[in-house]
Amino acid sequence: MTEAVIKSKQPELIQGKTGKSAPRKAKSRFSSNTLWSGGLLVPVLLFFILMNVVPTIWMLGLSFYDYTLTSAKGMEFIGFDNYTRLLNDGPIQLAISRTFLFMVLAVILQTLLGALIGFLFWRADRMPGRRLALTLLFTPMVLAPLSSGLFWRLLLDPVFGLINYFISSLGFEPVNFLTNPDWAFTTVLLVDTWMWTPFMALMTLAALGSVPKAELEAAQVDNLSMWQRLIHVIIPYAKFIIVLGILLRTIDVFKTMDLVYLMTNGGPGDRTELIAVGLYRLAFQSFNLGYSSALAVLLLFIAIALTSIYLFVLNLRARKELKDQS
Amino acid sequence: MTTPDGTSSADLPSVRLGEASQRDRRWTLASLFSWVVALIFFAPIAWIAMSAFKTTGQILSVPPLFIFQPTLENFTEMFQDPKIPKFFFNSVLLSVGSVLIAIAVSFLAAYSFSRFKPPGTDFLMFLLLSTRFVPAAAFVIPFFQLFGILNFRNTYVGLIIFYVMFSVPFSVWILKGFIDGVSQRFDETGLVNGASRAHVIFRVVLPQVKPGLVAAFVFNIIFVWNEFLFNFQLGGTDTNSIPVALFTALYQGGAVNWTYVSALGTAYVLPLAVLIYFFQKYLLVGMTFGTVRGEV
Amino acid sequence: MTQQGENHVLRLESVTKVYGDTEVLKDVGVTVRAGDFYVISGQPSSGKSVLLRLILGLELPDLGSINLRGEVVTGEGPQRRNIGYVPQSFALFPNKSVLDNITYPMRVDKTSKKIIEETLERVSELLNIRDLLDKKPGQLSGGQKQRVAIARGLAKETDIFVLDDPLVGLDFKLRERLIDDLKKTRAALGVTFIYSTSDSLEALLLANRVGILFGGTIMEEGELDTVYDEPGNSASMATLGFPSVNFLDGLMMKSDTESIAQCPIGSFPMNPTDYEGPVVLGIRPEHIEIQSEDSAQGFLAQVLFTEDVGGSEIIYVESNNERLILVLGASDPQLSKVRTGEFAASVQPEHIVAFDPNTLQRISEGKESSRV
Repeated sequence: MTEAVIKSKQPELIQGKTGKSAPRKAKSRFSSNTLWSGGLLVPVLLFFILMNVVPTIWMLGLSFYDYTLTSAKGMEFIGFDNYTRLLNDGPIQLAISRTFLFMVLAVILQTLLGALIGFLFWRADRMPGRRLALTLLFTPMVLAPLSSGLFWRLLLDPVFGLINYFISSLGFEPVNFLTNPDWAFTTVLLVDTWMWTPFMALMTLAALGSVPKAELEAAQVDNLSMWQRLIHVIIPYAKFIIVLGILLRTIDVFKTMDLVYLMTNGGPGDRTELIAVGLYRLAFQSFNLGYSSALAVLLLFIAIALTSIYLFVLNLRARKELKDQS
Repeated sequence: MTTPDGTSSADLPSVRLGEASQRDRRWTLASLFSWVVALIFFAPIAWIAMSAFKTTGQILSVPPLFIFQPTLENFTEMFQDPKIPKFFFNSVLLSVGSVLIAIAVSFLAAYSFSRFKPPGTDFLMFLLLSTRFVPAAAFVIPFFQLFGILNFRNTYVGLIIFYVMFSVPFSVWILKGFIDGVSQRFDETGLVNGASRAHVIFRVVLPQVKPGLVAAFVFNIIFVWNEFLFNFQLGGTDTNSIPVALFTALYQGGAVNWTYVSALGTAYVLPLAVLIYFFQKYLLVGMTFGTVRGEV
Repeated sequence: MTQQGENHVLRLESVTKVYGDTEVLKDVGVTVRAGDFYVISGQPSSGKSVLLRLILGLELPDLGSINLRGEVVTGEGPQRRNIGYVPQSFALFPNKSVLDNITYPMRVDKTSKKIIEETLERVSELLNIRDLLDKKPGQLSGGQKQRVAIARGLAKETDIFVLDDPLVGLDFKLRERLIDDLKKTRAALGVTFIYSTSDSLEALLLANRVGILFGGTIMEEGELDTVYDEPGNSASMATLGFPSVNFLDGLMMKSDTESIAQCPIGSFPMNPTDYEGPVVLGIRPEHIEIQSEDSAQGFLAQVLFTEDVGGSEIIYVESNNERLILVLGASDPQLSKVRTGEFAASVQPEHIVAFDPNTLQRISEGKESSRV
């Protein structure tokens, strides 16, 4: 009762005793904190300006010029021409839509497989040599995509490759995985899946680890089936980290370049030309710096949009945690 | 890892006992399958490692050889080439040098972000992360030209500065997370007792974020160790690292030199696998650029 | 005791602190004299911690001034104030041993080795943590951590110590002991303690002076006994009440010569006041008496439940739809009446205090009854 009396009075009192917020007086010592907070940032800001802001502005500037290294014409300011050209560039648009297709397929495949494998390892939490097994599982994702690409070229070789040996010993015709137009896209997709399914397994394991133990035990005591546990207990907790994993993979697909560059260099034809590969070829094989910069600016905006989405989801969780605490 | 069973089976109803005793056996179906999956994913790498001990003829043999007389010749031959130790040296120098600088400057910035929250903190954190989400190819041109102007191409200084920035976003994110986890009451206890801000930063907070420093170190090393595109474009014979060495093997005199690729590839993968084994608990925070914390 | 004068070691004048759009503290005045055990008493999240942080210099006020040991330190940082500090969460350095934790303030201060050893000896004896000195905080229980944190706060060569609710969450026995120890320590060192708590009992047992923090401001400040016996407003009375003070809605009426307060448990003659209208009447639980027989003055109370709090019994009753609390000694013969589930009770008018329900300020109190 006491509390009720007191509490009900508090708001009135606050409004009653003072008006709106009082005028501020200068705080003398705060300059010292300001100095520290700014000073500590200086080194990172210097690196950031030199290595990010300057190149970005440079790139923006280039995107307004017609500038091809191999032509004798030199630089010519053309305003937004590069961007309008981008809007009507069939091959680029095809590469973008191909990247989206690759993204959807890769993310679905890797999420499902990774969830399955993550779940398996979660169930096998006491397996002998678990740490070694996890090391073997996780190694593909920490390899440089370039070296993975190189390794798979050996494995997929139509003549002496291990994969074709298995295929022919099963009685099928050997496949020219990387140069056959019907196979190249699928092959790159599968190698990407080999590399990144372990990542989704890692995220799944972390997600399952974030499910409170007490909830799981309660579900067991209640004798829920594994399926019921999954729907009612595990997924509600685990979905956040899995969503973050899916977003990170989505972002990464836009960056996929080394792997494809090494295995097929976008070919045969343009069958495996993802947008990042296309950009690189535009810049370093056609040396069209102005036009490729316009494309880079476009990709920069896509990256910023994806980062926003990612941080939005991340903050959702932080906000939820804050709410749960109070 | 959270285990659904935990260790408390004794004080729970007997309903669970059957399941619990079943799960106590280490070789369950799940653990067997887990091992099979792990081996499948590692098999391609194992094959390369096996090839590293084969002669050219054995690598190219049809059908592929599973049993053979291993030879160390590829490795001895590889390391006799003076360029190879140079590649390794470059990889180590570039990664260790840049990551140490990156962690030092990132730690200071992360402390500022965490404690003073200067205006624009969220925006800067956002920008930093977004730089890691842009396709690397987008930035190659401006860097290529900029490095030409600054005379940074094919110099250690230039590449180290580049890799510092390459490592800063992840380092700031991960270290801010760890510093946020250190209660501000620690800083205040120091300040109230007359300690300087520098004392608080280096003597009070720093010792408490050691795991974050280790995670940032290990994973930035891996990322720089693996970086190819910029080393290839901005570096040269003096500064090229192992991925570039692997890449150039592709175009050496027409055919791929597979003994070279497999021996160098194996020597390159081994340190990575060892790092993953010993620092497995930081893998999650590492692979998510410091945005997700937890252990596996 | 000390006369009200200029020998204060700490004085805050009209201090205001704003976070964003909210005024967390407004127009706060605090005067602490040398040798005080000054308790800032207030509900959880009434701004106690912010007030302590302003005193320590961890936050700076938006308005007002802070005077420490005769000097204005309003804009000075914590390093310049030399105050011992026991933070609310223990904040023990996990990488340092208990010994290194405790001696930390003195080592930062570059205190001489001899004094460090003496102080360590004294505080570890006081808080009974001798056996823990070699351990790391991770190896300690919650209560042990708390004692180490207090020890570290006290291990400083200074005359003023700030303790931010240091006993919160401790079990009853340990708390009782530490309350005793803290009082003795302060007296033995002859230093000043500024202590915050939301626990009335702690305030009553520890303080010689209190400041009642309510709604972001100090509602009342003074000697513990004065504030307890003659609360100037309902917030003070509520904050310093154990068990909780009974508050009843009532009506103050005025005739030519006297004022009368009416409430669900009766009408009481009050000291004359011009005020007429709704009032809140405060009655401490110990002032509700159980009548031997049905008395004309009394009211009928139905027992809801009772609670044994070690040495005394708290009785929750209902009368005319008002819930009341009263308290009896565990061996009080009147307890037999309580067991019957219903009894007659009364309150002497002089124990009733009337407050303005809007300003919370005291209006009047019951008349000295003729009985005494």
